[in-house]
Amino acid sequence: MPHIIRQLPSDGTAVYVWFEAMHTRVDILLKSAVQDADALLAVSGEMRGLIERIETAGNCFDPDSELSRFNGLMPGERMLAGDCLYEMLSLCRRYHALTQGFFDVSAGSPGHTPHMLDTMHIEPDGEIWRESDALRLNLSGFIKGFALDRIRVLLGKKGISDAVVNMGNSSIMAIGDVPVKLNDGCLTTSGNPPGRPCQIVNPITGGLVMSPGRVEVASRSGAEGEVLSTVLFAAGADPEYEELLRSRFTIYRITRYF
Amino acid sequence: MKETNLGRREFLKTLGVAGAGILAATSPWLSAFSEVNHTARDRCRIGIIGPGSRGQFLMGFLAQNPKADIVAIADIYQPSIDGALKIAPKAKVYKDYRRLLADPEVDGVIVATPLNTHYGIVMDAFDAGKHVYCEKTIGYTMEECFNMYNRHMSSGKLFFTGQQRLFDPRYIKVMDLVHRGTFGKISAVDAYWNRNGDWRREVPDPSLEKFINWRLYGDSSRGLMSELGCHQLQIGTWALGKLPDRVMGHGGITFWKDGREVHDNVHCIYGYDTGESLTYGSVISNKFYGLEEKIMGNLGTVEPESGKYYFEEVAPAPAFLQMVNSWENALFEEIPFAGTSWAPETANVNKGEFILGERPKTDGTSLLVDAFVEAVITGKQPERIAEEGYYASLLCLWGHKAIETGQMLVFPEEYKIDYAPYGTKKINPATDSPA
Ligand SMILES: NC(=O)c1ccc[n+]([C@@H]2O[C@H](COP(=O)([O-])OP(=O)(O)OC[C@H]3O[C@@H](n4cnc5c(N)ncnc54)[C@H](O)[C@@H]3O)[C@@H](O)[C@H]2O)c1
Repeated sequence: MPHIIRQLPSDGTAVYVWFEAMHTRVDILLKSAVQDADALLAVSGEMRGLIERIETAGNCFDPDSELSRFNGLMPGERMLAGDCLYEMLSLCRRYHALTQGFFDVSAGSPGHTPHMLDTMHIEPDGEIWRESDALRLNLSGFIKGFALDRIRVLLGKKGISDAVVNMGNSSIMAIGDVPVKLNDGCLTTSGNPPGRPCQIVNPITGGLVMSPGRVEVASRSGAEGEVLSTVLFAAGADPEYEELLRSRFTIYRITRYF
Repeated sequence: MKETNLGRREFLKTLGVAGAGILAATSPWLSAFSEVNHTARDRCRIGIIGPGSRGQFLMGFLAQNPKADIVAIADIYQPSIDGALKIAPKAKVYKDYRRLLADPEVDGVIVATPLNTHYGIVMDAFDAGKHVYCEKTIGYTMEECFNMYNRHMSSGKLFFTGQQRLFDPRYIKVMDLVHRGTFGKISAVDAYWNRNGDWRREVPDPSLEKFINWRLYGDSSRGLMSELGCHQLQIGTWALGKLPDRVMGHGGITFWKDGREVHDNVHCIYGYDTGESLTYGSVISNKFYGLEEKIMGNLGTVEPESGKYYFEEVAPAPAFLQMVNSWENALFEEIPFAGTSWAPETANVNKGEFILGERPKTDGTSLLVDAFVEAVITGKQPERIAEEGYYASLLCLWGHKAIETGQMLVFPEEYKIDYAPYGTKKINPATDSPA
């Protein structure tokens, strides 16, 4: 894994690593006063492993992923979900409800209807299944933020408090004493970058959101940031809806770019 | 009053290193400057033997160093003496270097004479109790080099061997990155120095041809291998961290058929038992690719001469580089999010990254000379300087031998010295049985 190590004048060590994952590039900067370069590189390696595990769980474009298996299940057929996929699907279900249906990972299904996500079943014993073979889940707008939250937990376990993680510019986490100020939180972006095909579906109308621009959300959690930037973009500027979201999520800042 | 030319602080700043001692592990010879403040009032007395073109260049740095006095010069050629006196008008002039060596007012000498004369002069200098600075292929044969190194060790006198890249900020930084694995496993170093020119100096009288153009004749020079290859082979072993096990070579006079005896076109392949290769080539009838040492790892390539490195797949993001650099320099600046500097687009053209933001003002020579002055004052030989120069000299002479014999040669065990960074041990015939 490419990396750069720097000894810091304050007696600490910084490690910068970068690689490609989740269809984009990942940049990780770690700093520690007590852990040496080898230890920080080992943690970076674990972070990469974690990102790759999450990707093989939830990447709908990879035919070998767990999610692709789910998307190909016969109606009623059950499969045991790994902990990452299980947690992602549970969270997506919850955020679907909290956003009044605007966050909908089933929005790209053929013949999508507003309640289609209810045909996804997550059993307490870890099994998942679908009622209809029309249900197709796509976690692309969620998976990077989820990865950031898992990474934060991993860093906590490893005793690393200063870190910046950037996943392709659309999902960034900066915690501790770092040159990027994000209130120990995440910055996520959703929108239609100029010159790229539109990807975000308005689950209520079923159509692609064609408006240009993007929404940037600074929040505590990366997963929540993904949800919020997606729904705020899909729903357009609606102060009342924004108010509702602010009451339900920890939002530091919302910025719209047109 | 002369201004101090040490510029050590600036030097370390250029390296992006705020505190001292940080590079101690990778470049321990920088410790030569660790006592600069204690020695602020001290001076040393330097004699120059052979103040020709290079000698006068080195004198220029000494003349700017408040801690050094050029007290004597020795040369057998009047134009060189005249030139040297312009830099050091008060220096005593000797025609015979042995008289300079007998001068008790001289603490250390810089030997800047042609290659074939180094041995006699340097050995005499050690015997006379002088510290020695001698660039760069130290001897004309491997055996000479071995004896010179041993005399340095037994005399306890300093031996500086003229590998100025050891003090070049770009190289120090590069080797730090290389040894930390930034570019992955290094499989090959490909070094070359190409020029388009006859490599001749103007001769005032034909009888002086061999004396002035000593580089072109076999009795006084090993040609491109000793005069150019030596520096770049040192970069190869520095990067790979070990000595090669065998060498093959080829050379010829293909273009400059003007009576010279040394090749105008040489190539050597140095091979490692572990598989790596170090290649060296020099052609002086084509300059298109110029001078470079390509250090090739599975993750990236470094081109220290051009000052850049290139990653194979994904390049580092400028904003992250800015963050690590600002930490390292204790700048504590806040870095704003700014589009592509955070996640640069995957470019079709790999433009590479600069090793140092600013092009260093030094190629290391002035610092090497300053380090010698410091060492003469403190009497402490900085780690690795003599050994790096010793092995660099051996590699170029060994390669030259391979070219001359047309054979693949194995590294001669008897010329190995104790040098932990390359894992070599001196063979002691009394106690070690031959391998
Ligand atoms: N490190 C480097 O990058 C570098 C660069 C250039 C030269 N050099 C080295 O410097 C040395 C000199 O090269 P140069 O280009 O200055 O050559 P040069 O011919 O210009 O100078 C050599 C000087 O030595 C004098 N000399 C010869 N024999 C002598 C003797 N017996 N006693 C006293 N003086 C004697 C000559 O009169 C002349 O003044 C060489 O060994 C060369 O390899 C090193």
